[in-house]
Amino acid sequence: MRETGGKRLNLKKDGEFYKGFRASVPTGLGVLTYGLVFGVLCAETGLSFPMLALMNMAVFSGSAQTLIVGMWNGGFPVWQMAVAAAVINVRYFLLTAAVAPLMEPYGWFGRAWRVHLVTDENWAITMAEWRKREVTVDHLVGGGVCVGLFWFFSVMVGHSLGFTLENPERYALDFAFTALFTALAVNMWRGGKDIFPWLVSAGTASLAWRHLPGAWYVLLGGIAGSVAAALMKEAE
Amino acid sequence: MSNSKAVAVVLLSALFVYSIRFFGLALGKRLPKTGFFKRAMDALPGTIFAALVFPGLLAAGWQGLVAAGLIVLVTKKTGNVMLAMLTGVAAVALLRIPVF
Repeated sequence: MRETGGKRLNLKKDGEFYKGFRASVPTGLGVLTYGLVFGVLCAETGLSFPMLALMNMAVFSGSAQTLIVGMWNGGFPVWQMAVAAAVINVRYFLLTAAVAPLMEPYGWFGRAWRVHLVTDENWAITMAEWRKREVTVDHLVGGGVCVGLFWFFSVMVGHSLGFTLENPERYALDFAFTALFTALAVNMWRGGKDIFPWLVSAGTASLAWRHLPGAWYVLLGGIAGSVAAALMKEAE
Repeated sequence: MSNSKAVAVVLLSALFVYSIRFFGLALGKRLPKTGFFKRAMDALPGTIFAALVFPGLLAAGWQGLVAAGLIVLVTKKTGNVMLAMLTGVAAVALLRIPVF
């Protein structure tokens, strides 16, 4: 595909790639601490080193990967795990739609690999910068490479540190994913307007968990809650 | 999980997650920025986590609920997800000692 002139990656210090990379280092440190914990949990769950390396590059999403690994030994069908990973990442639609104008100088091949590097962290940093001045997509790509390197290596180091314990219930390691998801949920809380949707979600999920097989409780609860949120403001 | 199933899970998940990134880009400006769809999308990540967490907390019994309270507190106070998780796990481990 055609790449218009002068659009090749500029890796020099005055270039947008470097600026985006450097701006993402602080969030990279946050990614690093989470990646270490996630890597240890992956070892505990029984993922092999090469499988985890493949997943880090191919999926490249902390929330989707956490969900997949949380379901890893639950006996779920392949498609249910993949659908759950997709549903939790539906928000990426909105992220990549927002940066579509930055990608306009490139053909479809140029866009196709760049869009894989969009994560919550570097997206937020580039959007904030874009509000202040004109940026190019290299800013986003530099941030994505930064986040990606921190993610990949911290997870693999965590996996190497990983240990298997004789008696995981004794140390409450069976509670580790629930604890992690609870903490992540706190960060997603948007205030009072979330009370009703979250109650709908929790109620639906608890019912489905008791009566339906597999991961249906995650999908049904999440969808019921989000529809409740959308209806709620319609009623106002 | 067998190795072939693991590869299938990873590759199919990768395909789905990539498709979302790609179609968001391809649809670009045509996605609704207001209205029902937008509100549902904005609420979805949080409600997914609510659905994920509640059955697990209930399954962990009263120890799980106490731990959840601590996790919320630590996350709010420090913003550190890892510290919050470790606090919750430590709380459940301690509360499972038969003295309680």
